[in-house]
Amino acid sequence: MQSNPKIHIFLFFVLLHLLCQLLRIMNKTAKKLFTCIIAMALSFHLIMIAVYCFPHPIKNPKIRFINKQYIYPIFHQNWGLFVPAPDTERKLFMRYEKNNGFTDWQDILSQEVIKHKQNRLSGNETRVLLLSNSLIYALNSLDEQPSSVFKAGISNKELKVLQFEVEQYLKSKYQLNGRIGYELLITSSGQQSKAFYLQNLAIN
Amino acid sequence: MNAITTYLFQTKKQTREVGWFRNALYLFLLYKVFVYIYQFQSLFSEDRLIYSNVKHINTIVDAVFFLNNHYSVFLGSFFIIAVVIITLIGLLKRSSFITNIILWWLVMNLTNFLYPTLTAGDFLLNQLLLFNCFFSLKKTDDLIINDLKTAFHNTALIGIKLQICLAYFLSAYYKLTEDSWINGGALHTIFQIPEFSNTLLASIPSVMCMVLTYLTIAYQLSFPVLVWFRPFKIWLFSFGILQHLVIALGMGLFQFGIIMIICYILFLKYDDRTEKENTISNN
Repeated sequence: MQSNPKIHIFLFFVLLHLLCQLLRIMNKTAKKLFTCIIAMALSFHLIMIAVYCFPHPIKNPKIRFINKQYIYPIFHQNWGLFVPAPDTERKLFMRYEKNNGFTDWQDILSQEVIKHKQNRLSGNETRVLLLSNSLIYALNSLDEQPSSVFKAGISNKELKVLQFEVEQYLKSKYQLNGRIGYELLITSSGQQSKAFYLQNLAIN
Repeated sequence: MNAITTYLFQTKKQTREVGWFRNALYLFLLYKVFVYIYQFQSLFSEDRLIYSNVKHINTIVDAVFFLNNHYSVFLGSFFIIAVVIITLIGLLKRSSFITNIILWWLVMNLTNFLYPTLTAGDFLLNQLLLFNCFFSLKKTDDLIINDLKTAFHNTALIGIKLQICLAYFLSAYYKLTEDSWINGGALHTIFQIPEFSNTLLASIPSVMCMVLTYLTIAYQLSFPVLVWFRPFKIWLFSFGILQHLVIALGMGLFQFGIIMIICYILFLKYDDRTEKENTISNN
């Protein structure tokens, strides 16, 4: 099922026309009618948000489809704040080729977190959230997999995003140009500790 | 029905609080823009860290992914400058429905472009900016237009308040479905993760954390009900502001914490008290 944007635009203009007509005959009845429309529109909007954000997804596929069409992405929200409570400490280590060898391992995320703690207002929050969210997505996508070493290329999209961010980070922080090899080590330690070692990566 | 009609059309409610709310919202946007400029290299330059996806769904949805789909450094800079200009227009009390709609669209595009860096506060900000378009603090000579503006103003006001109540209720409900929140260990667990903590929070004893966990759930559950009763407001807002300051400064989710505090302004109802006092003095 695909929603037709022309219908949306047509409906918008019909509503606009009705509103103009209403303006001309603004009396008590018109006000009541207008109140009805506004109350229904607001109720509909809030109910749709409630349905969209509710922890238990609605079962009816038609309602679910309409709900998603209406909400996403313009009214998208998520109120599952810290649910489940994060119980895993994730780390993002990186090292790159230098002088026929590798540099020491560096924990990129921790470095950004420390910077953010020094001044909460400096906006480093965005960099922390960026790396932290991408790391969470990457580790979640490997949830079924045991700890492992990736020697060849990566086909996993979440890992590719993380790889892109680390490459850009390296380029901007260490002014690295040209093709330079690097390695990534991502770990999660908590109830279930895991590590994934990504070798033979290169900055393009 | 008559009561609702009277509520919508009688007078513009809480104009003073709406004015404060608007100013706070615009100042917050200026802070956000400052962050964008300060972090321009990481977020908007050619070497940005943001992995952007082109998204084509339909005309309406594409409009809020315009920056994503046509990104260039120039366009990114243009969006940022446009937000600054419209925000300043707002702070100078010269904003209109059109400027606020444009502001909403610009911010929606910027937030969608920076999707991996968002928190629940950014999505809430989008909703606040949408409702903000319907606030009007000035009167016009045309009675009908005035009536309509009053109705939209009051609807937006109640809309934001209900949205905040809904957010608190949903947040509490989510927590009640999760074991770590039910058994009281959630905050202690969260405070041990360096990304969401600092030395002070990490050192809070687990018993204290348990009390805070249950207080948080109780606060979020009771907010949608108690906020409508004046005697409870001082306690609710005191706890709420403290909680959101801890989130902002302690846990590091600064923007989320501040935007939630800004929302409280609309629950102050200073004008209503003034109205009541006027009525009493007239009698």
